[in-house]
Amino acid sequence: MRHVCGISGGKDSSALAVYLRDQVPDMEYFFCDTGAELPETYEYLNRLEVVLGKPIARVNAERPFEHWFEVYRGALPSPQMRWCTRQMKIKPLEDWLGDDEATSYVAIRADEQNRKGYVSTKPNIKAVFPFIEADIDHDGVLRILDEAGIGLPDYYSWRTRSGCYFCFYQRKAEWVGLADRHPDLFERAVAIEQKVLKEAGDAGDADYGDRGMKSRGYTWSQGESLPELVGRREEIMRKHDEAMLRAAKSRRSLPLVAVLGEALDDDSDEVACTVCAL
Amino acid sequence: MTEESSLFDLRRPRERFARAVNIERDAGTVQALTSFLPVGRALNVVDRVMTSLGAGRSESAFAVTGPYGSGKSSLALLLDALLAPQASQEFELARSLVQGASPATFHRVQQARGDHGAQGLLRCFVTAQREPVSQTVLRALIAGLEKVELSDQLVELRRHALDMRTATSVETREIVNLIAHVASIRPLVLLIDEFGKSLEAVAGSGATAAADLFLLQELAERSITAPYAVVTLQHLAIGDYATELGSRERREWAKVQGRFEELSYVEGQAQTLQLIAAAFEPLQDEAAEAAVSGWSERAARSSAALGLPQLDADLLAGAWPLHPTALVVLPDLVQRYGQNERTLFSFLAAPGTASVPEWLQATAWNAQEPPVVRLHQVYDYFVAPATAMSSYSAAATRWVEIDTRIRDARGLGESQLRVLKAVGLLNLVAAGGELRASRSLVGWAMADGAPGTETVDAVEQRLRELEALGLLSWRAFSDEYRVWHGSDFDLRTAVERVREQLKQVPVPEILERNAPLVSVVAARHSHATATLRAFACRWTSNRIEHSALDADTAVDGLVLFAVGGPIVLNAETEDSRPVVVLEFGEAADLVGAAREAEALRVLLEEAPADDWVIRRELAERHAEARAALDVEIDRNVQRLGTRKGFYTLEEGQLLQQPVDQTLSGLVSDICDRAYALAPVVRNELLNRHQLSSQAAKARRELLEALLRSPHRETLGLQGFGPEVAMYRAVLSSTGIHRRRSDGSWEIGSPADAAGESLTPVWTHMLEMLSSQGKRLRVSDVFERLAAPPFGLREGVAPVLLTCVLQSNAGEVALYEHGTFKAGLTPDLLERLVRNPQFFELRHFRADAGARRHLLEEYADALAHLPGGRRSVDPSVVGIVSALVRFINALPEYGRRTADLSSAAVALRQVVLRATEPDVLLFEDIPRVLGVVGEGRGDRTNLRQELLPALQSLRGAYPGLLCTVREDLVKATGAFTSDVRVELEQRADPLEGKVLDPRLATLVKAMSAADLDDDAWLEYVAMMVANTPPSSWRDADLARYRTNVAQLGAAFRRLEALTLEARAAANGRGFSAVLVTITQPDGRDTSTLVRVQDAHRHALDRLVAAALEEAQDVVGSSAEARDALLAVLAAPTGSVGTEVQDDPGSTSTQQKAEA
Repeated sequence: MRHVCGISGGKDSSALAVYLRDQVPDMEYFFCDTGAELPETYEYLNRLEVVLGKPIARVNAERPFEHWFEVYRGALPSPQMRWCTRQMKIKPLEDWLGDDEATSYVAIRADEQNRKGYVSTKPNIKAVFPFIEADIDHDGVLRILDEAGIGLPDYYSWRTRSGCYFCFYQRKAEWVGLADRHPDLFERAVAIEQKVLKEAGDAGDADYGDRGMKSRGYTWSQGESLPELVGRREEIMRKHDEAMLRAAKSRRSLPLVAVLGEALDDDSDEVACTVCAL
Repeated sequence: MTEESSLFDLRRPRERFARAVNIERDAGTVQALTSFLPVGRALNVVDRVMTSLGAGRSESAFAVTGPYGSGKSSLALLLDALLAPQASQEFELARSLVQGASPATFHRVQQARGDHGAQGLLRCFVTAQREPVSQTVLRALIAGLEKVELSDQLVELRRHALDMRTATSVETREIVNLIAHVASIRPLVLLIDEFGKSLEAVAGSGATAAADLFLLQELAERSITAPYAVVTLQHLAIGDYATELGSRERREWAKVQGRFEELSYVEGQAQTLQLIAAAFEPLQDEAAEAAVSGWSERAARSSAALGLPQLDADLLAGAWPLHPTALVVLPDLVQRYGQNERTLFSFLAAPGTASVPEWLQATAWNAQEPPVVRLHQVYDYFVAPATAMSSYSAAATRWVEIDTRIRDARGLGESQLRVLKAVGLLNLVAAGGELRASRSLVGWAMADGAPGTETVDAVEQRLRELEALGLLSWRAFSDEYRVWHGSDFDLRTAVERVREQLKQVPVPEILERNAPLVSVVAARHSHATATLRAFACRWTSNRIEHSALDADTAVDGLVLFAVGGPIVLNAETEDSRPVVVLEFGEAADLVGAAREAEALRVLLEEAPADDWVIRRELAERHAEARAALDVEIDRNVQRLGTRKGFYTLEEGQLLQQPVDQTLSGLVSDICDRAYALAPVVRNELLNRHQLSSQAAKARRELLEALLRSPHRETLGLQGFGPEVAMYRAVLSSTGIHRRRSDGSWEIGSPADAAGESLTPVWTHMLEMLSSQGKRLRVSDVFERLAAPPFGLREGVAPVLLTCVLQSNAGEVALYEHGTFKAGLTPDLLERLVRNPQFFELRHFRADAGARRHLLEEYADALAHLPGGRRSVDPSVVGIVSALVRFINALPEYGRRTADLSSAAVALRQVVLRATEPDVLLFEDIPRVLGVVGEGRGDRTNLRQELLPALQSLRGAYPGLLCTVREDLVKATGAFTSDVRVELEQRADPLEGKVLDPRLATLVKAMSAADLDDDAWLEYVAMMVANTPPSSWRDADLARYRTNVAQLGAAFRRLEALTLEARAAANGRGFSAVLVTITQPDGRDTSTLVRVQDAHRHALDRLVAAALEEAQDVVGSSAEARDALLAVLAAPTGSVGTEVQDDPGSTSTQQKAEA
C-alpha cells in the first residue's frame, strides 16, 4: 500500500503535507507539473521540500499543454471542457500510480466539506480527508504553515489559487496581477486566448484562429478578452481595493490572505478547480 | 296546443327546401319549381343567357358564381324548364314565373327558342364530378341528346359522342367540333352545375390540366360562331381555384377566366331575409299564431331600438323560430362562409345535428315566451363542424382565429360557452356596425332564461367573466366584444408582393433553400469496394459557374441539378472529382412550386411573432407548398429519362450518359472509373473521412503500436478490439507488416495479392515524396491521395503514411511547424493526425560520393561515443536525428552552458538552430568544426573534430556535478572521501538547532534519505541555489559557489559552537578528531574521535614514550610517528588519517600517510 499526498502549490495541500509529515512515515509527496505553473510555485515547492525533509516527486505530464492545445485545435479549456485537468493532472497521476494500491490524502478542509476534491474513480485508489477528520479549517491551515515556518507562496500577494498561469478560474484582479508580475506569461496567455501558440516552431506561431469552434469566441475571463480586461485595469483594481476594504472591515484581525481571498471572491465566487487549487 | 307537444307540429320548413336540388334528377319535374321565387339575380342570369343565344355571333360563355345554398341549382332547373318543349308542363310553369316577374326577359326567352320552340332546345345539363372536363362535357352532350327524339343525323352524332367518351385520348378540337355540329342542327345550352369540382380536379391534375383548360377556352371561343351557350355554376371565381398553383399556370387560368362572362349570383340581404321567411310553412295553430305575432311585435321594437329597422314584425313572424339576431346574421354568414354541406336551406329545412328542424322536434312550446333559435346554435351549425377554409381571404383568417380560440377554450361553463359563441358569430359577420357584439345586443340575443343566461344582467355577467378569462376583449371605444383579435396582416397582398420580389432571386438559390438535396450514394460501387462513396447534390442554374463546382472534401463527387434551359458551361476546375449534371430544362412547374414555397417561407419569417393567427395559417400553407414542391421534384427527376438529361463533366466537356439506369447506378459506374486505383480497406470504422471517437481511439492505439513495437508479431496488439481489426485490414492482410525470412517482423511496401490494391497509393506516396526536392505539406499529400484516382479515406491515410515513414526512416525527414523532428513519437503522430497542415515531409536521396563519405564519418563518430548506439544509420535523416536526439538528451545545463570548448559550443548552436538536415550536415557542421578535405576517397578530419566536441557536450553536466562536489567539500571542510556520509553525520547533531532558514535548508538537504549519491548532490545543490543543477545557467553556478562558501562557513562555525557547548555541558573539555582509515581496497571508514581534556595529559605521556621507543626502531622521529599510526590503524595495508582538530573557528588539517 502506497501513501500519496498531492501538492498543488496552494496552501491547503501544502499544509496537509506538513501536517502528515510525522504521521505517515513513508508518505510519497507528488506534484503534477503542467509546465505552466507560476515561477513562485516552483520556488515554494523547494521551500516545502525542506520542511518535509524529502523531495516532492515531480509528475510531469508526458504531453504538455502545448500538445493538447494543438490536438484540440485551439479549443481552449474552460469550466465546461476542463481538458487541462484531465490530460495534465489526472492522467499523469494515474499513470504514475499505475495499478498499485494507494491511499490518497486529499486536502479538503473541515469548513468546505461540500466541495468535491479529486477522488479517483480507479478502484485501487482510496481517498482520505485528514483535515475533515481532525476538524482543521482555514485558520488551522494558516497556523500549520506558520508554525512550520514556511508561510505562504509568494503569489499570495496577488492571487489566492495555485495552478497554471493562464488558469481560467483566475479572477479579474488576478489577471491584472499576472500582467503586472509576469508580463511575459500574460502575453503568452493573450496569444493562447486568440488561439495562437507562440513560437511553435521554425515556421513561427501556430494559429488556430480559423479552426473548430471559432465562433465560440471564448475568452479566458468571462465577457471580455484579456487585452480588454487589462484596458479596464484601473476600474478592476479600484473595485478590488474597495472589496479589500470591505473584507477587512467585516471581521477584525483577519489575516491579509483571508482578506484577499474574500475580496477576490467578490469578483467571482466560482469555485476553483479542486485538482489544481487545493 | 299543449306545452308538451313539439314545435315541429306548429311550424315546419317547406318540403322543397328539405333536400338539395339535383339538376339531373329533378329536371323535368314540377314540384321543385313551384315555390321558386323569381328574384332579381335569377332573372338577370336568364336574361344574359337567352340574349346571347338569340343574338348570335357573340361569345356565349357564362360563369355563374354564388355561395353554397344560394339556389344556383334551382336556377338551373328554371333554365332547363325555359328551354323545354312548348307543350311541356315545366315550360308552362317556367313561363308563368318569368313572364309574371319580367315580361321583357320572357321576350328574350322566346327569341332564343326561335324556330325550335316546339321541340325545345337541347338541354345538356349535368352535375360535375371529379373527372377531366372533356368527360363532363361529353356526358352533358349525351344527356342532352337522350332527353329528346333524335333525327338520324343526331343519332349518328350521339354515337360519335359515346365513342369519344370511351376513347383513350380525344383531341380537344374534336369535342368542340362535335358540339358545334350538334348545335348547328339544334341549338343547345351546355350547363355544368357544381363546376367547382371540375376546376379542383383540373387544378390538382397537373398533366391533363393544359388540355382541360384549352377545351374550356375553345368552347367559349367557338360559341361566337356556333349557336350554343355554355353555363357553369360554381361558388368561387374561376381564377380562385388556381391559387395553389404556380405563376405560369395561374396565367393560363386567367386566360380561361377572361373568356367567361362572370355572373354574380348573390342576393341582397333583404331578399335573402324574404327567402328565409318563405322557407317555413304557415303556423298551424291560431293560438300559437297570436303568441308569435305578439312576440314579433316586441322583437321588432327591440330590433329597431338596436338599430336594426329592417326587421319588421311581419318578417320576424314569418321567420320565427329564428331570433332576430340569428335571422339577421344568416345572409352574410352563408355568403361569406357557406360550405358545400352547410347551406342556408339545409340549416332551415334539412334534418341533422344542430339544424332548425331538429331543434323544432326537440323543443317544447311556451305561449308566454315562444322559444327561439339563437346565435350560438347558428354557430354550432355553421362554424363549429367546418374544416379550415382554403383561401387567402381575410375572411378565412378571421374564421380560423375565432374557431381556434373557441375550440381551445377549456373549462368553460355551458352558459359561458353559449355567450362566447354568440360573440364569435357576430364577430364573423360584422366588425363594427349595428351587428357588432355590443353589450346590449349580446344581452338581448342571449338572455333566454336558461341557467346562467336567465336575464340580460346574467348575460352581461358572463361577458365580464369571459373578459376576465382573456377569451373576450372589450373595445370600449366602439362598444364591442371581440373573440377575434384580428390580424393586420394582409395575406393576399403580401403573397403577391413577395412573389413579385422573388422574380429577382436566382432559382437555384430558392430551390436550395426550400428543397436542399441529400447526397446520392454509389451503392453498388460502395458494396464492391468496401468504401462508402457519395456524391453531393446541389441545385444550379443551367449556366454552370465555378462556384457550382466547389465541393466539400468529404464527398467523392458532385451531382448538379441544373434548372433553366440548355446547359452552358462557364467554369473550369482543378478539382478532379467527377461531376454529374442533370439537365432539368426550364421546368417551369418546378420553379413555380419552389417560388411559392419560398414566398410563404419568407412571409413566415416576416410575419409578426405574436400574430399567431397568421403564423399558423402561413405555417400550414408553407407545409403544403413544400409537399407540392417535393412532388414536382420527383416528377421532374422521373422525366429526366425521357429527356436524355444525364451528363458527366469531363475535362471541360459535357458528355451525355445513358439514361437507362438510376442516378445511384450512374454514380456507381462513374466511381468505378474515377476511383479505379482506390485501395480496398475492409474496415468500416477506419475506412471513412470522419472517424467516430471510438474509431479514433483505436487508430491512435494502432499508430502507437506501429511506433512502439514494429518488430513484434501483430505489433504486440492482442485481443479482439477495433485496433486489432484495423491492424488486420490495413497492415496484416496487405503484407505491409510481415515476417521476414529470419522470423523477425518488419514494415514494408504492400505485398501479396491482398495488398495489391494498396500498391498504387503506396507507390504514389513515395513518388510524391521523392520527386520533390523540397518540403511537402502532409495535408497536401492527404488531399492528393483523397482525390481520384485513389480516393483514399482520411481515416486510413495517417496509418499508411506512418508505415511509409517507418519503412523509409532514413530517407524522409518530418517537420512540425517548420522544425525538424528527430523521429516519430506517439504525441507527434497524435498532432499530425489532427493538424496535417502543420507538418511537412522531405525526402533525402541515398547519397553517394563525397556526401556518402561524410555521412559515414558522422556515423562513425556517433558510434564511438561512450554509451552511444553501436551503429548509426549513415543517412541524412538518420544522422541528423541522432544528433538532435543527442543534444535533446543533454540536461538543460548542457544545452546552455558556455563553459565548453568553442567547437562544442559552435556545434551545439548549429544543431539547435538547424532547419534543413542536409544544410546542417554538409555545410554548417563542417564549417564550424573547420573540416578540411573534400572526402571523395580521402578521409576528412570531421571525425576527429566532431568526437571531442560531442564528448565535451556530453561531459558538461557530469563536469558540473564535479565542480559542485568540490565546492561543497571546500566549503564544509569535508576531509573524507565519502563526503555524503561525513556530511550526513556532521549535520545530524545540528538538526533542530539552526535558526537561519537558509542554513537549515542546507542541513536538511544533507540529511535527505532515499537518494543515490548523485541525486543527493543535485538535491543539496538545488537547495543551495534554489534551482536544480540540471537546469542551471552559468550564472546559477556562480551563485551556488558564493552561497555554498558562505553556508559552508556558517555550517562549520555552528558545528564548532555545538561541540563546544556539548563539552561545556558535560563539564569536561574535549577535542574531536575525525579519523579516516583507507583500506587497501579503497574503502574508507571514518570515525569522529573525541578526546577528553582530562585524559589528554596521560595519553600524551604514553605517546611520547612510545615515540621515543619507536624512534629507536625505525630511525628518525618523523618515521617513528608514521609507523605507529599505520600499525594502530590496521592489521595490514595502508593507513591514512585525516585529523581535524576541534574546537576552533579555524582548523588545521594534518594528514598522515603510511
